[in-house]
Amino acid sequence: MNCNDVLNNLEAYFSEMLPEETRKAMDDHFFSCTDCRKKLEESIRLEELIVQIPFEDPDENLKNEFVEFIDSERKRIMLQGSERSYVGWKRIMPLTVAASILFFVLGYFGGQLLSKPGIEEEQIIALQNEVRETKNMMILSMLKQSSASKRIMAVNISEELDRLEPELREALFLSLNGDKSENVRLAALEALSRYAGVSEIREELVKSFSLQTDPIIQISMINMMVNLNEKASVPVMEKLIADENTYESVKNQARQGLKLLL
Amino acid sequence: MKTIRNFVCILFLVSSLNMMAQEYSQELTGGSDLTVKFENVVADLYIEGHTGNKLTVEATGLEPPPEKAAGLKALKRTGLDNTGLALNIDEYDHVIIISGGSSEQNLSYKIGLPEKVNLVITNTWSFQEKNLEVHKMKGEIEINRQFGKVNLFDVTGPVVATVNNGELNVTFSVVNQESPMSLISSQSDIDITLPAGSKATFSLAAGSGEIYTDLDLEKIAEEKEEIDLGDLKVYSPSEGKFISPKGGVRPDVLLPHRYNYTYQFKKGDIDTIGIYNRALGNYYTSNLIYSSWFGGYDYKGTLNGGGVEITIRTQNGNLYLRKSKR
Repeated sequence: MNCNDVLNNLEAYFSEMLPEETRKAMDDHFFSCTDCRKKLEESIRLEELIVQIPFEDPDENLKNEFVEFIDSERKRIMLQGSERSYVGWKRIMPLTVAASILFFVLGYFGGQLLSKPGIEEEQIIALQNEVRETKNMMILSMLKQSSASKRIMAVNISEELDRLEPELREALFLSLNGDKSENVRLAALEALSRYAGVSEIREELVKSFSLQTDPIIQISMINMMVNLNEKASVPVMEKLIADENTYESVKNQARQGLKLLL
Repeated sequence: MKTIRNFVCILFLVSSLNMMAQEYSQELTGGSDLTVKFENVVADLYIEGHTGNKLTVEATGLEPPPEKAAGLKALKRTGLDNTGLALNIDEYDHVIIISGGSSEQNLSYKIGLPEKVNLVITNTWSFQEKNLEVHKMKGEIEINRQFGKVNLFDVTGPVVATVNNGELNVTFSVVNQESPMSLISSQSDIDITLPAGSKATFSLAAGSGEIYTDLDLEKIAEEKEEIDLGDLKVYSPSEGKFISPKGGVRPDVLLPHRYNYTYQFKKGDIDTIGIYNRALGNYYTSNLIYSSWFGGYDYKGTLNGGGVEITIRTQNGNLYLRKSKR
């Protein structure tokens, strides 16, 4: 085992997943190589430091560094040149303690990974997964905030994910059906509409359609159902037209929608 | 004789003014962590931010309670009238909740608030068209109202507002970049004014209305999808489902005539529905809500290179976006 192999495995050295023989080979190498031993000692010290981090938000600079790191990771690896605005990330102040520690660990090992040439595909995927999990966690915690703007931010971040985990899907439907701000409900609908091709989500959306009472959300739902050619939405539209409490503009949209669907 | 009459008149005027305008004031502790919430206050509201730390209320048009109520207090939505102004003011965990007002009267409140506090104003059940004006507030503003005109002047946001019937006008002194904004109306115009140098990323949809602006917006191109035509399914109205046509999909031939423009494909491992743009000859996963049969669209554009996300939606009104003229 040479120095490169050892350094590439350094983060795995702390995990129980590392095969015993690899650990032994690394130990042998550390015995003979001062440079690598020094690196190991640094890592151990860092591990200790991480454990000792008090449970409070890190200071602003540190936080910005993590956020910037994730930012640059994301640009480099995850979305490959997408032009989306990313202001939101830099501005997220009330991070959960757990999320900030995850950022820290990610930042450290991610930095290590990238400082070396020849990154392994698997490692990138592992890093992507961790970033996704961190995002999921953050979105879920942000959706519980009292600020409507922060809840919209959470929904917007979810639009940047490449898939919707069940937990997050449930949270978005909860927002769509129950958030007290109409603005958040509309944002949740726009986010969920991107996954309308998935049949379970589509069924949920039809169910949700029958629950909506806000005119602009009703109209958005009608538009979406027509674009989806969703026949299951026909009874909901018929009911809207028959209901005397429905806005006239909503009824008109539903009448047009029915013409296109039937 | 004349002077005495004038004097009496003035005396009467002054005393009646005193009766008309009544005041209340309270110290507030906390700044940007504090939220002041107006919960279904039935009255015209004029709210103005100041650099002090006082909540002040001045009521105009308040009529005295009936004689029978002597020694009693009015019971409002969240509790007893504890201000003498037909308002209940209470505090729970960094939230000051104000409720009350009266639908029977031509009542208005002028309210002074520390400019940094967050503001929540809801009035979702009253059908009365009460007006709302907010000046010089520097915290988050959340508004949810069915009826009545809303004017926000010299605010920074973030503003998250729904005003379904009644204009929504917002003039920004600065556009806060911290977190997204959203402005919605189903029936009315939305009119936004902001400094020309502001950074923002807009998503604009006006349903059956129009969008007017003098801002130098730069359009964000829709994301084009690279699709394997072999995987592509199109919707067949005659069969009522998405199908793979025999001989493969030829969008140029098939889509305009026999099929709807929506199509289904795999994006990664996710079933996705997209829209075929005939003019551009490309596939896009456009927003299904706005790329509609009804001619609606969702314009995404940046101002000064982009910044905080601002979503604006109106269904039956127009959308006006202006540079501030100073």
